[in-house]
Amino acid sequence: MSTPVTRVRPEPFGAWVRLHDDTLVAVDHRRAARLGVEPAVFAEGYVSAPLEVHVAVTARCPVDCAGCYQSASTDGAHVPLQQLRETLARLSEAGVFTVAFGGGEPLLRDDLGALGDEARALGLTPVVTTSGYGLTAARARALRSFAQVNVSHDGVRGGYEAVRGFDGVAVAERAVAVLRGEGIAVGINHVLTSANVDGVAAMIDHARTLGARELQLLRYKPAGRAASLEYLARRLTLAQCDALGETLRATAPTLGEGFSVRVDCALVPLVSRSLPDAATLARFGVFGCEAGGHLGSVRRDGSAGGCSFDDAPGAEGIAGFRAFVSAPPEPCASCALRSVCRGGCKVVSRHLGQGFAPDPECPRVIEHRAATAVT
Amino acid sequence: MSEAGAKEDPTDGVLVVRRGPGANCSSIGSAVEMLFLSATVGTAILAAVAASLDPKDDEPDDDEPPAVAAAPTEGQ
Repeated sequence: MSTPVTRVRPEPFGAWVRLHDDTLVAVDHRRAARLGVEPAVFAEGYVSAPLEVHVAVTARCPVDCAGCYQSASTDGAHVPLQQLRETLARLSEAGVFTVAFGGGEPLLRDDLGALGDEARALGLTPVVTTSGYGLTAARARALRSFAQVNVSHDGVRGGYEAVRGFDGVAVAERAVAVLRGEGIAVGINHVLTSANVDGVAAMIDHARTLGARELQLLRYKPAGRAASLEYLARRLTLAQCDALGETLRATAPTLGEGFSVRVDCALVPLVSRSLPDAATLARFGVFGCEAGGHLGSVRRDGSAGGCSFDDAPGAEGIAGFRAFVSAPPEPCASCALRSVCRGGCKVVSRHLGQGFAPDPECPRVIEHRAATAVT
Repeated sequence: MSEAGAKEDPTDGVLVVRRGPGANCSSIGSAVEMLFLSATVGTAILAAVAASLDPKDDEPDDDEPPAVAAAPTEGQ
């Protein structure tokens, strides 16, 4: 008998199952048993491991993006290889499914391909994000164990430069072509700010034309070099958030045949006025802020964080994310999307001096605060 | 079929379907087409995934280890 299942993880509800195409499926005990999964015993207070973990492999980068969330630099240090190997082993042992390598610029590591190979050998699905700088056909061939490589590209007609402070479009588009030429699945990371969000529909078409199989839309977040006053001018306006939601709704029916658009966890609250009910979103694996939940990170010093932007000392951030999600204040407490959105991006609320709080840029939060403000 | 003759829901027991893996290293993504699914398409996706999870008898069992039975130890 055969099944398309490549990895399973018993859970208190049944199991998480990974299929050949890296789709993750949660199944109940009955269906898990049909797949041959033995019921496991879980200690009281058991917390499941993340499904996906982001691993920083270097602080070095040849470019100087204005909004780099890691504050990477040309003289940043690589994370020692042995530390990364130990990290991968730990993640595999914990039952993590996907490991996403980031930096800095991961391509500056000569052993990036070997790290991908090692992750595969451990049963993990490796993916990586790059600016494309330093990518040659030979380097691309070494990345064949990666399930997908995402190239950063913040838009044509000045969009890239507006977000990053320099024009890297040619490098990014060459990298996409080189990777495709080597048969590697390519996605594009597209950071949205007030300067380029109006071009998102054109960027969707452009990414498809370039041959990417996916366009990943990312909210601009105030971390690293982006944690400045300038953030307030770069963040999306309420009108832009609503327009983005409607653009995505209009685009959705055209997707799915070899090309997909993804929104990141932090964009979920911003487009929430366009979204259907939480039960539907949850059943189709839509994730809001999963920091400290389905998502984790491993920092350059090897310590664990709730997400890549979690700069709280030790495990303080993870505890903070989990505490907020378990008992959020209003308006999140009574929000119909609470179970999926999980309060929005706490990187933003913390940057704006509110600590772990409802996302201050969520349209629902803005409405609630306006309605309850003392006049 | 149940004793009552009612058809079993083919998507029964499939709790969540999440298209993956995405390749971003800073935040976790969700497919837009899954955000705005119609009920018909959503049911079709769930049914297809559920069907794919059922072991197929299209290959000989001889010498083939249970594909999934051994898998839990892989990630534990």
